[in-house]
This record gives sequence, C-alpha cells and structure tokens, in this order.
Amino acid sequence: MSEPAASPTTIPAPRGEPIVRARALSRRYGSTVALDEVDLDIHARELCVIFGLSGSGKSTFLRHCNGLQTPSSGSLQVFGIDPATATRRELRGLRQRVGFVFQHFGLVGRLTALGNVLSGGLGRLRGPRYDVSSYPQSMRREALQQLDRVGLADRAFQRADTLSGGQQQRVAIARTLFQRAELVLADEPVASLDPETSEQVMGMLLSICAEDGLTVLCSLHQVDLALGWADRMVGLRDGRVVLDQPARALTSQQAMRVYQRSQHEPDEQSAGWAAVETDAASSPRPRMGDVASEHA
Amino acid sequence: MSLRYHDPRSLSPGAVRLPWDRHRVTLLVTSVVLLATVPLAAWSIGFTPFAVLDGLGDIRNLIGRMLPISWTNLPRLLVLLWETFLIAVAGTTLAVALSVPIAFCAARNTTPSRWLYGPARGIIAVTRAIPDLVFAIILVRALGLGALAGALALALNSIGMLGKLYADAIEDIDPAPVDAMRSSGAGQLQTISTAVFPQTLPTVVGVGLYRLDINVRTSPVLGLVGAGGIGMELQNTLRQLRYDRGLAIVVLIFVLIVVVERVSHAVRSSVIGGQDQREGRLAELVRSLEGRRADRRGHRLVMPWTPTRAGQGMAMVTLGALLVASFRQLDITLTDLVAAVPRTLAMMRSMFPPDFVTGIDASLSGLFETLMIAIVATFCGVLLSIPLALLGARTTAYNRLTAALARYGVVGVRGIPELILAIVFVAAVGLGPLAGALALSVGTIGLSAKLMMDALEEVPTAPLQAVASTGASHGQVVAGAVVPQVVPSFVGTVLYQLDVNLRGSVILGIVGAGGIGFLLQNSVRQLQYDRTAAMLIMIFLVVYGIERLSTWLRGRLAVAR
Repeated sequence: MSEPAASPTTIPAPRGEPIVRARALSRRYGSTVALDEVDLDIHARELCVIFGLSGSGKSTFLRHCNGLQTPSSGSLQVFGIDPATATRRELRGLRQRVGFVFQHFGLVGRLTALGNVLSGGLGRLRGPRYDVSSYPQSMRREALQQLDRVGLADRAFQRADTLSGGQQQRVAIARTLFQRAELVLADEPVASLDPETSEQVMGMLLSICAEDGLTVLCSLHQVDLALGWADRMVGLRDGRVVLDQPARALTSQQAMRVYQRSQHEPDEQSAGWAAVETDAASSPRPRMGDVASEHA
Repeated sequence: MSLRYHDPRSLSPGAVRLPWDRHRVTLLVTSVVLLATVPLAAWSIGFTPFAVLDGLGDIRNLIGRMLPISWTNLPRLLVLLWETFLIAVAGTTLAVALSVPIAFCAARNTTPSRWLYGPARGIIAVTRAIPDLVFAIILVRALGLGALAGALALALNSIGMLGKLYADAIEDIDPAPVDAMRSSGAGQLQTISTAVFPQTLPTVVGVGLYRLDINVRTSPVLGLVGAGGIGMELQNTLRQLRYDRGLAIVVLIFVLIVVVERVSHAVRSSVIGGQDQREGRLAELVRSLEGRRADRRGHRLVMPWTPTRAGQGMAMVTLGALLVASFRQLDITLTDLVAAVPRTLAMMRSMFPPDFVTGIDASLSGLFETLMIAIVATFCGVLLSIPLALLGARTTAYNRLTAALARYGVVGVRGIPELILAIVFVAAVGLGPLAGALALSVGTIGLSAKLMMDALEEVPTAPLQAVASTGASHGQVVAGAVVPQVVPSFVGTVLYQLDVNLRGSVILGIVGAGGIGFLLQNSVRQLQYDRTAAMLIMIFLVVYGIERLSTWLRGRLAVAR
C-alpha cells in the first residue's frame, strides 16, 4: 500500500448548498445538557472538524445527524429530512446517504474484512445476509475495489478481528465508501490509534473523500492534525458552539483555547463527564498490535 | 483513620476484627439455614447413617448379581443404542432451530416488540422448569410409543436452557457493529443477521453441542417411559431380574455418553477456537487446491477454503448427514411433526382446568419429599465433590496419581445418567426416597465436581505463587490463595446444583425412588390430566421459586465482594 499524503488539502472547497442544518438543537440527559441550542450548517463538499473536550457534545451532535439519537428540542435537517420525525423508510433512505465512521470501528469481528465492507451495501439489498458468500458477485467486485483503495485487498478474506487497529479502521472506511455515502460522519475515527497510524488513516479518509467529492463532518481531538486538512473548525464546549472559523485563518493556539478556557473554570459536572468518556475511550477492546499473519 | 503501628496494644479489639458487612451476614445466615435444614430433610426421608450403611451392603449384593456381565443380544442392543443417540441428535437440532428465533425475541436488544418479549421469556421459563421426562410422559400419551415422542420431549425441554443462554449471549454482544449497520441504512433483519448473529454463532454452536451432551444422557432414560431407544430394553431386563444383562446395557450407555462428550468437546474447541494455525497434511492439501483456483480466476471473490473453514464445512456436512439419518431411522417425517402439534395441543387442552382438589394431600407431601431429596442429595453430593475437585484440579492437585484418580472418578460418575443410578439403587435398597437421595447424591458428584474443578483451574495463579514464595505449605497455599478466590463460584455451583437436583428428583419418582414423580406418572396413566396439570404447576412454582431464591442469593453474595 502506498503511503497516502497526510496533509494539506488542495481544495479551497467550493461551498455547496447546506446539507446539515441545525437550529437551536438541544439534547438533555436528565440534568446534563449535552447539546445546548446549537445552530450549525454544514455545506456540500465541506471538510469540517468538530473539536472540544470529551463530553462537550461532539459525538451527540454526530449521532443526531443520522437519527441514532433524537433531540430534546430544536430542529435538524439532513438532506432536507428531519431524522427525528422521519418514517422508518425515510430514515433508512437517509442513512444510506450518510456514512458513519466510529471510534471503535464497529466491525463484526467474526466476519471477513470483505464481508464487513459488503455489509455497507445492505441498505441497497433486501433480506438478511451473512458473510461474503451471501452477496451477489457484482457487489463483491465493487467492495473489493473499495478495499483496494484503502490498501487492504490482500486481506479481503482475513477475519476482521485479526487485523490491527489501523487496518480495522481502514476496513470501516471502505465500508462507508461502499455504502456510497454522500455525507461522512466520523466520530473520533483515530482516537484508538497511535499517532503515526492516526495520521495515515486520517490522511486516507480525507484524500478519498476529497477525491469522491464527499462532505465530511469529523470530530477530532488532535487539533494539529485537524488544522492540517480541514476547511472549517467548529469548537464545542458544554454543548455550545464557541468557535466556528475557516481552518486556514486559525492558529493552533487559538484553537487550543477551546480546551483551555474550560480548564480555567473547572465545572464539576463536565469534569465528571470527561472522566467517564476517557475511561470508555481507553477500554482495550480494539486490538492495537499488528497481528498480520502470513495467511491469504 | 490512621493506625499507630508502633504500638499494637493501642488498637481497640474492634479494629482488628472483621466487620459484619452485608456480604458476611448473608453468608452466615445462608449457612446456618442450610445446616439446620439438611438434618431435618434427611430425617424426613429416612436418610440416616444406618440406613445408608445398610444400603451399601445391599448394593454390594446387587453388584454380585450383576456379575459376570452378559453380552447376549449385542447386535440388537447396538441398534437400540444408535437409535437412542439419533433421538438425542434429532431433539437437539429441533431445539436449536426453535431456540434461536425465540432467543432473538427474548433478548432486550433484538426483540421486535414488547408483545413478543414477554411470551418468549415465558416459554423459556416454563420449558426449563418442566423436566424432560415429564414432557416424555405427556408426549408418549399424546403421540403414542416411539421415538417421535422422545425427540420432541428432548427438544421442548432443551428450549428452556438454549433459549436462555442464547438470549443472554445476544444481550452481551458488542453493540458497535449494530450501530454501524443501522447507520448504513440496514433493516432490522439485516442488522441481526450481519451484526448480531455472527457474534452469537460460537454460543449457538457451543451451547448446542453441550446440550447434545446432556440430551445423550437423557435419551436412554426416555425409553423407560416408552419414548423409544435402549431405555425400554433396560427396563425389561431389570423387570426380569436379569441384572447381568442390565449391566451390559449400562456399560453401553456409559460408553456412548463418554464418547459423545469427548467428540463434542473436541469439536467445540477446534471449530470455535477458529484461528488458522493448524498445519498439516490437510492444511497443505487445501492450500494447494486453493492456489490453483485463485490462479484461474485472477481476482478472487469467493471465500477461500482455509483449514478452519474446511473443518467447519466438514462438521456441517457430518451434522447434516446425522440429521437426515436420524429422521430416516427414527421414521419421523415432516407430516408427523406437523401432526404432532394439534395432538399435543388437544392433550394439553384436556389438562385444563387443573384439578387442585383431588388428592392434594398426597401431591403436597410428594412435592415436599421431592424437595427434601433434592436438598439432602445436594448437600451430600457437594460434600463429596469438594475434596474430589481439590484433588483433581491442576492448580490444587496433591500429586499426579491422586489427580488422575479423582478425574477418572468424576468422568466415570458423569457417564451414568441419574435415573439409571436410581434404578440400580431402587433394585438394591427397595422403593422409596432413600434410593432417590442416594442416586442423586452420587449423580451430583458428576456435575458439581466438574464445575468446581473448572473453577479451580481458572483461578489466577499470581496469588498462588506469591503465597508459595513466602514459604507456605501446599495446604496453606490452597487454603490461603485458592479457596478465597473460588468461594463465590462454589456457592454458585451449590445453588445451581440444587436447581438441577430439584428437577432430577421429580423424575426419580417415576422409577419409584420417592417424591412426586410417581404420582405424576400415575395421573397420566389414569388419564387424569387435570391432576397432572395441577402437579406440574406446583412443580413449576417450586422450581421457579428456588431459582429466584438462588439468583437473589448469588446477587447478594457477589455485590459485596
């Protein structure tokens, strides 16, 4: 696999029409406010990074965008559809156009890498499927091509749980590509990876999405990594948008203030949230070691 | 509180005494109640030391009459044994096929609706509480003598355990792939088949094979009530007092059980372990075939045949062949299966309304006797199991010889179904609860000692090494580093065993070993199904009550740790 360039994007992206449109979007869990009156537009072909402390509402916002969660109040439109009020069929249709890349990959460990990529195409199919053999030949070919784009065609028939962390996330990216998503939501896609692999995976995600003209909304902790390629940076703190600027106009220090200000006024509740989330993030579920075997 | 270490005398006595927390109180209360109950229970069923000693003498006599073993009619016995095995295969397969959809309805994260969740859980609870032999008695009545009744009885009873374990496994899966599937627009059924089912497959296969093990033990017993197989033959030879032929049958059953257990264990560990590391002729052959195929096609879009996959394929083919063989040999057709449903339902309809009035005194005292047998047998069996487990487990074994003896002893006991033990004990000490309690005590060893050994071997070894390196003796290491680590799991084993023994003790009555089973069978024979239903409901309540109690106790003991 050729090392894809991690950094700078060539695109002064032409701003398209808004794809995601949030108005006064709020979400509360009991007394905790995860999202607080968020107004945000994401435009077509934009590469937008959301950043902020753990518990600031990044994941919650992303999970609202494809209806995995529903708002307490306010409105949200994705491709002109409100995921919270959409019918089951509309929601399925919407989700086919919205890809989601998870921090913990969300691969089915017992299935092969190719089988996982193919599962991205379930929305186009009818009826239940299991592993590779249950998909039509034409889909297998296309899925293998996507797997090749992330440099893992030679691992197609290896069980997903025997791949390294970086490889697993690349399989997950191939799955999203195979889904033919137009909007890619990425929830801290590299938080479980080491710095070098992070850069590599992030660069791969970016360059492929730019190549295909996809819109990307990505939550990320590594501000420097984000500044390297994002068009736009949105900072969240305690569920509120506290920064929204083009990335090129932003320095690392300015961006870091989104984190720092919160540290100056430590508020017990958000500190508690942060602790919980960090624990979850450092759980050892994904395998980091490269266990590439000689097989296949 | 800071302790002043320089002067131990300054500490109050309370500071060096273990405080009474919830955990210790529960443990104490449980132990006291148990220790008080056991002698009462033993006395109520005539399980006294003298009676037991007398019984041992009777057993020696009986063994004398069993020898020398007689192998007349061996070919016929082998056919019957094969039939018995096939009944177990058919029953288990039917059970797995029925349990998977039930489990998906009974798991909170995959149930299609609340209206299915409750009934699915209900089916699991009821089929678990009713002993397999009771199903067999009812089905033999409804469908006539033969293998169909036996296979269906096993299937129905297995649904309880399989459904429960499958549902637990489904609720335990990693939810991330489910979110991922839903996010890509997959439907409910697609999400289940692609993201949930693969994660539960090892459990489906593993528990299914384990259940096959159990059913192979039960299947010979079903013959006793006319549900096909070798059990009927055993009953006949014992009626004719041909104990030498009876012994031959018991030996055959023993061999079948042990062989199936070995094979299923091997299959479980190799198929489920699932890593492609086994090298050898087969692997090489498979790979060379694979190489050629890949060359011809260029781009490979078909799953390659790895050794693991080849092994899995072979296992599937074998299972399929066995299944076809079993339905053929047992002469069970799809029409029979479909026709069985209305006939069983009709039979069940005649059970309602249950008659709780006629002979209620006898039923209640029978039920009480059943419960007492279970308690006594659990206590005695566990008491015998603990030293066996300590001797047999690799972590605590004294030396190799005793370990091997203990292990073979346990395997040996496991190879004989409890009901067969009961028949032997009834033949030796006569009808009554004493025979039942003795049989169940011995049977307990097979399960309890096995579970305890497993627990002992899973203990983390670091504390053992730490204690041993302070210069402690073997006994001190076991007492100080092993026992504290296994107490919760031993308590769990005891409670689980009580559960199992309660069910076991119900069916012992069927061969005259005391308790409600005898009354139950009589009521079916006399076509008083409404009384049967009443007794079944009472049994269900007691079994369910004990299960809740043990879950509650286990929870209390685990939380405080």
